[in-house]
Amino acid sequence: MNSPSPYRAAASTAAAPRDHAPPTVLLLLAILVSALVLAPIAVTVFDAVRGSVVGTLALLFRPVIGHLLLNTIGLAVVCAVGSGLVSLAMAWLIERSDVPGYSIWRVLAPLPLALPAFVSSYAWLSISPSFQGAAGAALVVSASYYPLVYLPLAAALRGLDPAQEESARSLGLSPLAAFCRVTLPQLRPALLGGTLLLVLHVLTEFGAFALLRFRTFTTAIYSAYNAGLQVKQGALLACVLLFLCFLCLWGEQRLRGQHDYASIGAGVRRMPRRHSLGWGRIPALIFLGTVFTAAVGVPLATIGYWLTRTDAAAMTTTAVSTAQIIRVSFSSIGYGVAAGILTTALAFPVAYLAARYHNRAVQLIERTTYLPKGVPGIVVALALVTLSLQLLYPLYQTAILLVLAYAIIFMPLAVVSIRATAGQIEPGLENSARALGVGRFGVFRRVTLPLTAPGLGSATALVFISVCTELPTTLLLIPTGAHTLATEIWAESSNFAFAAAAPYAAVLAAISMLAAWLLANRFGRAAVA
Amino acid sequence: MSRPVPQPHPVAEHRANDPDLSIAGLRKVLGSQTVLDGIDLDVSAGQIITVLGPSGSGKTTLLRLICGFERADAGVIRLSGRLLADGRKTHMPPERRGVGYVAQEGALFPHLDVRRNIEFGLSRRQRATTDVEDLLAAVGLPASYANRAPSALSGGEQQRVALARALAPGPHLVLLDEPFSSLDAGLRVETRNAVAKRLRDAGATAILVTHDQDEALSMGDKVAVMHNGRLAQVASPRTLYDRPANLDIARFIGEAVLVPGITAGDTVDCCFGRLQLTTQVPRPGVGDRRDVNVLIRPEQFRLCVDHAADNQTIGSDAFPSTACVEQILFYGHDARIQLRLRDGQPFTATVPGFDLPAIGQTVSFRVAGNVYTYPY
Amino acid sequence: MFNHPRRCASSRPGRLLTALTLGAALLFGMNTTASAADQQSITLYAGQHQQMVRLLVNAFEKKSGITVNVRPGEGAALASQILREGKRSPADVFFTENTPELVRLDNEHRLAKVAPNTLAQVPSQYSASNGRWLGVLARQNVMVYNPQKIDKADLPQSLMDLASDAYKGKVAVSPAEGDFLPLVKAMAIKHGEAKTLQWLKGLKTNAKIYNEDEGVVNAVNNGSAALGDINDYYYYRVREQTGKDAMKAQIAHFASGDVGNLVNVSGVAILDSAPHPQAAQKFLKFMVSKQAQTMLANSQIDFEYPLRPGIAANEQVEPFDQLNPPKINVNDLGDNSLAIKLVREAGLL
Repeated sequence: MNSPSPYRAAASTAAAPRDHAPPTVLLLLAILVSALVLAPIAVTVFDAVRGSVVGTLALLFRPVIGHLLLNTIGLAVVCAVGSGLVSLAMAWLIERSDVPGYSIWRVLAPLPLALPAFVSSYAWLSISPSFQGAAGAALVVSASYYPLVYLPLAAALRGLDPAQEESARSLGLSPLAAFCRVTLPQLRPALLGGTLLLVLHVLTEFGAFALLRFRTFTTAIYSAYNAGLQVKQGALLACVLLFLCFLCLWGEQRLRGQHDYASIGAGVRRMPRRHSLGWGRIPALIFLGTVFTAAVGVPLATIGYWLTRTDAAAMTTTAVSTAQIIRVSFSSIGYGVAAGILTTALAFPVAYLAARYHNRAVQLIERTTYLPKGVPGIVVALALVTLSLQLLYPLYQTAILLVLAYAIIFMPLAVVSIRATAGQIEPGLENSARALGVGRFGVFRRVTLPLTAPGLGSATALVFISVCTELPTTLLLIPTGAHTLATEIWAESSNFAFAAAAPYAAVLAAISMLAAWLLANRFGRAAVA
Repeated sequence: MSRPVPQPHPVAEHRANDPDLSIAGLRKVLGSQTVLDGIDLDVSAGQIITVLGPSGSGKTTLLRLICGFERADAGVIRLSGRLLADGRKTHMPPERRGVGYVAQEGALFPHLDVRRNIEFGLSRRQRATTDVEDLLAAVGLPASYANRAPSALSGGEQQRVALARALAPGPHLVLLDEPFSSLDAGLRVETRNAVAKRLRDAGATAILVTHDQDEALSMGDKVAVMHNGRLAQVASPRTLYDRPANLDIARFIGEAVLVPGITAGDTVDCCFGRLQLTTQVPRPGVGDRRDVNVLIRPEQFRLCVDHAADNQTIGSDAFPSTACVEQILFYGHDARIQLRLRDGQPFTATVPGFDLPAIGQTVSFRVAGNVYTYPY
Repeated sequence: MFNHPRRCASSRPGRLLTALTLGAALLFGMNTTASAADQQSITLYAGQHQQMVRLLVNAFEKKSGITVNVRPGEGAALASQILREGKRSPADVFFTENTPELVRLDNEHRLAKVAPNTLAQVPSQYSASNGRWLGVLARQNVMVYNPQKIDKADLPQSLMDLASDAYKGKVAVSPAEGDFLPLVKAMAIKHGEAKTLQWLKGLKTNAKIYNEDEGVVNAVNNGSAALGDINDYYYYRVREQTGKDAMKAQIAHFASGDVGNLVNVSGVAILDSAPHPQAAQKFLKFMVSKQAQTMLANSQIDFEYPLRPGIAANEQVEPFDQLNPPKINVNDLGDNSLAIKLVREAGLL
């Protein structure tokens, strides 16, 4: 979406007022935003390299880091391969076969994205503690994040001209050979891109691994912090993690340009002929059902089960009251709304400039705002703790700092969705408005803003969902005495009080799925991915 | 030509006048809708058949059945003596049929360059003996295109490569599914001519599906008109245009001016006077004084546009009728003129664009050539 | 929408403004709980398990009318945080699972004196000798083992033995836990630094590493490790959740007086910078009151020994007077700096 195809790029360049310099105010705002986004990275790197070089190197080349690398990368590879295969099979079944109810599956398949991984982990963990460890972590994280691979794959598969496979058949290839030689190579960019995105999520995931007690960089950073170790140690771990994340991000961004394989020749495509599965329909159904059950069915059913087991709340003291649930829910919603609005407001100047002005400075600013995608929440949170303790003490432990942290972490979501709509406004419209005698600000208020409204709306909604389901940053930065749904689920379930966690998990799942559904309905399914 | 000559298929020992492709009683049902019914079609070796029909008439389905992308519900398809399909009993998979296929937009594989696209259907041994440059030249493309990505080609070039790719393995039959429909007008004619030439040079048997009449009439040795899942008429382009099998086809192919008339021997009397009937084929019931519909093509009207001496020629033998000009649509090379007879009958004439009457002018005209009639 | 540009233009920013106001209002609403700084509230940095803290806090709030703002976290992290915050720290009271964090703050002169008659409520060997922190609850270090994986007879007699070749690949530990580091210090006191380091290195080759004791208990229970070293209350907590039938793991003790039987103390202190010292003292007094100690002992969430004399421990745990801990005073455990140094040197952190 953010790196358009050559065709589209050419079109928008032609339309952009190249000779105009971007408005100074917007440019300054955008620079400020990118500085904000860069701050946690800078603080982390600074904390890590502080002190003697020898000491830093000694800390860096510790066996623990090797162990963490092995753990983290191993899990990432397992999840990537597992999700890749599952997604490929699902995408093919749903888009190209006559599996019963494919149109329903199409709606169900991306659903796990709306359910936070740490909520799924809570659910699986409450079934049996044996889901703790590498196998459980791989299962839960793959089940939660496979749509990151599935969605681009399914889209790519939908975009392929079915005539290509038919042509290959008429040139003497069997169905399997045609798929392997014609379809699969064209799915590769989508498959790779999605997989890298998934790996990025595995690298930055915190809550699921913490609950399932699997040691990766994020949980090790948290546990170094918990052990009261020097800031430097956590920061060094964070730097190694940042390096891995940026590697993925870089790869993923590079692949994005290649997505448009399918777009030679315009015109209407025929609906692809669905392959008949015959007897295979039953195993196919079982397969889809299993994936969906693991990803969504089991977590929701488990939450439902614990909701009915009020007697089993023995593990909790504070018998969860309705008033408490409502208070905590509103707190989550409040943070979500506040962060949604702030993030959207901060993202606007960047996205608008990026859509309009194609010069190096603007490009650099825009790229910068994508970086937080590769910065785990826990890293941002720790950096902001340091920053607020040393420079911004009035903000320390305030809601404002937490909302600011959210804004940094979810800036990429907002920039991408605003940019998408801002890029569609023809500059001619604004010029026409100016010619009609309306001032610069008037044009902004009466033309630009209303036309970008869908993008602003989807940005706010996306950030809202993400904030509600965010855990590590919230844990570290939340004001004393305040709670959100995520922190309550965390508090109860990390102490095995599963029944006590259930109401919060249920509300969180409901809010998140409802918001995702509204978002998909209003702004198109692509918005959710 | 150094192109690999299609290897004669072992079973293809049929005599020359035997049909290469033979379809009998073909039927296809999709859901509750019969998409194709009772299709009989024979295509001789080396012939190009164009299948013409409005969208939804089933022409693409016919093609997909021959390719093997869909299964027939009834009927038999044979190619060079081999049984491709027999109702639901037999269905040879597409890859074994030896039928080349050119899709609507070419369907070039975007991840492969032009050379790899063309070589796609060839075995390793065939690849060694195949000269891709020659194949490119045969479709009118320079050899340097071999290393280009499909996305670097124009739509017309893509279609030519798609044809080269389909012809490379030496198929018994080539099927083309609206191959020019996505091209713009100028490119369409050029590409169409190049493809037609290539097909004829290769002596290929081909079926081309189109909804474009010009294309169907100009490219086909025979034109098969498809309507509502049935073949309404299979005939040479001339026959189809001059003697459409029924009124529907008459209206569908080209433009038709239809007026009532009464036959008198080998002539017919109508509002345009006494016209000569087409006589090549004697038709039962024509000849007596019968009420008929008379089919006249707009280009058969010859107008006398003499601005100076209009009264002299009006009603003369050369231009026996008169009509009033109501509207003129000027196209440059020709023009369509809406006229109305004195008795109120409107009709359209197509005339060369260089000498046009004025609107409101009364002109004299005659009907050139023979006309065809249908029982009333 | 394009048909009514006027209406759009006027209503969109209007709606945005409403949303902004709403957001700001919510933000301030969320802030009020945090910044209500009247005398009737204290801020508690709580390193103990959140549920028992809540139990305690709720009872105190009900009794005293003083609001307690809880900042949950791990003890060591909270101690570090208080040091980083300096005198500006909003914390009044610091409650933690293990005394080294309290000692660390005391060493930095950050603790105020606990009221003498509060200190008098518990035996003096469980509180700071200088009276700057108060012992509240205690628990013992034990072995957890899986009888299907290892015979009870083959269990080690000493914590030291966990590093021997006999237990290679069978042990689970969580060296980053606050409960583990006091063991290292105790080991150093009993056997010296060099031997302790050697022990840790042996552990590094022998053991599977987990982030918390819960992970260790679960690993032993599901058989991925044969035995593990934990504080006993994690065993009961996990058993409570798993169900007694599904609990395959058992508790075992080291030889009498071994370092492995160390008793860890949950302690509490008031910060020298506490904005509300009087209210904080009330809270400490409540923590060692008969009411609070009985309540905690009877709850099925903590499983710690009440330190106030005359209060029976939870019926699931062994009686306090039957424990055989090493002769090491909690004050001698000091802060964790040595333990962390050794653990890191051994490559466990």
